[in-house]
Amino acid sequence: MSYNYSNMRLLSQNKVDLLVELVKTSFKMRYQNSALGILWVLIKPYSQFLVQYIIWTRITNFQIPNYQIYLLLGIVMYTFFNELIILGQMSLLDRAHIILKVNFPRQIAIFSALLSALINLAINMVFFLIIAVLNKVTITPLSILYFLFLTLIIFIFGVGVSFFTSIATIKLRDLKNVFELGLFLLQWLTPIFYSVSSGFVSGSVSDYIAANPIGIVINQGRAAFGITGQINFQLMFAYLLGSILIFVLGWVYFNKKVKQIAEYF
Amino acid sequence: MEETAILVKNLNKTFFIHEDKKSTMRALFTSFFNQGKTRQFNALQNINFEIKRGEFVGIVGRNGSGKSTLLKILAGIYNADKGSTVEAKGSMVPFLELGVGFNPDLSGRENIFLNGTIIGMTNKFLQEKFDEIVEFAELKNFIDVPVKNYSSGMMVRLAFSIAIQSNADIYLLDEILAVGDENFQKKSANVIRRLKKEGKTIVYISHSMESIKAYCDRALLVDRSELKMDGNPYLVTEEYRRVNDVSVPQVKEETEKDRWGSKDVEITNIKIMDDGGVEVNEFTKKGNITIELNYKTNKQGHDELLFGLGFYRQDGLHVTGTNAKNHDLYPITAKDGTLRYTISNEFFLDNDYALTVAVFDGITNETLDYHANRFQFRIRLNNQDHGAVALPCKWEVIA
Repeated sequence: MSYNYSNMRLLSQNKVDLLVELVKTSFKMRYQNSALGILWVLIKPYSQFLVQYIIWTRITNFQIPNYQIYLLLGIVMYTFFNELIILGQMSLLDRAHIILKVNFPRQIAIFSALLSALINLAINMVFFLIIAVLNKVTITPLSILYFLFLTLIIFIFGVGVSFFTSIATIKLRDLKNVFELGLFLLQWLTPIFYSVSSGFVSGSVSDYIAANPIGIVINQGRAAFGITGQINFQLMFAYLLGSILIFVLGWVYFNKKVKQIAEYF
Repeated sequence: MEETAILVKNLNKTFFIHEDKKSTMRALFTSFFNQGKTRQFNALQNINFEIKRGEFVGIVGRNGSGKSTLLKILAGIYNADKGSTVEAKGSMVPFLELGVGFNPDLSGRENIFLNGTIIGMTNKFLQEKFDEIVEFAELKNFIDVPVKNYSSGMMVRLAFSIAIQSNADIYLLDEILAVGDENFQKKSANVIRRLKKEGKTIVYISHSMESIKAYCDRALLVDRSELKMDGNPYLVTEEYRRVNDVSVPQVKEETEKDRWGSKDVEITNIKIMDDGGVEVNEFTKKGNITIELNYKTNKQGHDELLFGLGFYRQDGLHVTGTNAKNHDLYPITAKDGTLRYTISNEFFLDNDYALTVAVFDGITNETLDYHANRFQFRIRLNNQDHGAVALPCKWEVIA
């Protein structure tokens, strides 16, 4: 099969515009007819933060300095990761009505879904930075830069994983529930409200938790803002390469499978 | 004109259908030991055709014949089986449906940009064409209203107006020409003719044989996964009819919708006959159509009766109609009787028709008995003229 498009430049402009339109629409839809609108992006992680903060500071003493900022950044970063996986997984299925009618590059469906998660993160981070400054955290250009680098790693990983999961979920609808459950369990195995060294978990379990990659990236985020821990750029660079590898494998798999998948919707 | 726009060679499409579709985990586990049967379904078999640049080609076929699968393969939504060749030269816009991605909660304005980019236009281009789209759709006062508040007519007008802006070399249209009211249909027909004049290649799927004949230079008949015929739209639509409805039309079961009137005077029996006086519902030889109707009076008080009848083509077109008064048979004062109406069947082109008959009070115009579209008959005279009717005419060489 071959399609020779006459005007490539126009087409690539169309792809960008399509991406923008799809992101805009999903945003508008999420907050259409809602009184608080875009505020919901903040309400979810911040209310989660409030509840957890009140509970954990009452019943335990983690001895973590600047605990509120430690907890808040953990929740914001995990929410981002969680959204990437869930939105990416559902990206094809949610857009079936378009995919079965128009032949546009299917990757756009995935990118548009994941860009929504990225925008949510940006909004959350603006408020995080304000709260961090109020709590006397010093924010340097380097910390912002390093945080953006971490975001890039998670994002590339999320896209790569979505190349596989978006297709698999069409064939096996249960995967939606499997992933939701998995992400919920993973949340407990991630040092969000506790730290590995705080003694909240002990023995071999803490070894597993210490090796949890998403936990490591979140801790690097904390290090970026000088909350706890040390920046480990070399390790993160290795993570970036790993994410890129997953992305490339996903891209190849996706291109091979995506046309066949139209029959399974 | 000789340049190839679409080339299809040895096209096969097989669907693998799992008898019990394993899209839940439980089904996957239970069928792990008891493998569900996989059935092969050949949706398209060995399809070959070539479409030249600038051709307007219709595809006809029954539901499930494979024509939509064919269009989806041309549009690049489905892959063809290995070994198939499907080539399209030039940019292509597939309108497998109008208004793809329309979001009911968004305004007409927002949907123009959403739908427009989905079908391949750029934001800048849509901004330039925005006024034109709104004007064509006749929605100036409603463009900022959410489309969920549009009537279905307004919705398709908007969708069509966006769709026709897309500039491509090849258009794939799935049953989209018959949208909107009569006025809008005229406008859209003009647009399609303009595209044709500009040398665009158009592939058009429709169930309306009349629109296939009206627009297409050529037609393909897809039947049971195979390409049965490729050629002149008149011959192809004829073959489609022959293949697909073997049943000869019958008198319809009467429902309340089909009959009304006070029945003070009632049409009790209607006969459609050929020249031999035999009741028929299919005419295959040139001659007259003779219609006889019996009536009787149930309630006195109607002294002048007026009879009328009309012929409707199966797609609803009112082909012709008349009443007895126009032919000097008025008033009819007898309380019971039989009327005869005769018309040459050569005025009718090959198609299925329905006959409507009625009787009115000639003084008060009250409807006494009205049988709408109840009696059907078919014409098969193989007249190749086009349009609604065949009128008597003569061609001569005079110099």
